[in-house]
Amino acid sequence: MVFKERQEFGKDSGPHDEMGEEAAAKNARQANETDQTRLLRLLREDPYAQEAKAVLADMLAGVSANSLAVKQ
Amino acid sequence: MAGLFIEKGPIVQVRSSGGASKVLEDQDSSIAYEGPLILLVNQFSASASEIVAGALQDYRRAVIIGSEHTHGKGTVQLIMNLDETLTLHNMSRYQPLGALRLTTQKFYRVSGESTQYRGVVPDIILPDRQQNSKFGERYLDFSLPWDVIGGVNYLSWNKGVADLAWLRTRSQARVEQKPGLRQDPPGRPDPGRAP
Repeated sequence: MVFKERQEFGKDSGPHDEMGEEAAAKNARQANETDQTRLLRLLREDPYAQEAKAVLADMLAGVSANSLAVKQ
Repeated sequence: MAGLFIEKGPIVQVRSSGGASKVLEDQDSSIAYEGPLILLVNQFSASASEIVAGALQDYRRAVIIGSEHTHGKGTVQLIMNLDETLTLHNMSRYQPLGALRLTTQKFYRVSGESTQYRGVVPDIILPDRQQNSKFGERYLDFSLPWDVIGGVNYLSWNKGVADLAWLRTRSQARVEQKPGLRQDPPGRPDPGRAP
């Protein structure tokens, strides 16, 4: 009986179904990932990787600035 | 692995329970990459990865980014197969006897500091989504304490050393604008974040 109620709840709740499909599609995409595509996805999506990239950009800018200062 | 990013030099020291210490070095002067380098760590970064992070931080070769500390495993274990080591008369009837895992050494950074207990503290600390997981040597019962021995001579990286204070300030400003990284005070969940 509990199962039936849950089933009906799921059937009537459109947004939940959409979220479920979205999550399932995401899971399917991630299941087919290779190490390389996973790494690329994490670099793109993970906030820690994004921050690391931003720090790296700062480092590159800082190194360039130091080089210019030395040349001048 | 640390040797890929630095010229030759000491990487780590190991010290046995008897007190004798040994320096393990990178003896290959070639470098695979000499550009700016970042190492991401968290409290699940343990043991060998702490050696790499500690060495690259001491040499100022990389900027270490991550949670407040790494795991803090600064010990070396030896696994003793008891079937091979307990060769007493008639002992074979009890086989398999299993194995004994013995802590025999501690390792130390080139600066002389142990990674045991404290781990490696990143140059830039980011809010940690898993901060409540209490994962690390410091949360274990009977963990060995942090200590320090004499450092060894090494040449710091001199090709484009990062200005850490400037990088920290810039990072902190960005983190405050990023909901995915922001840390919420206890009891005040971010309404924009899924429960």
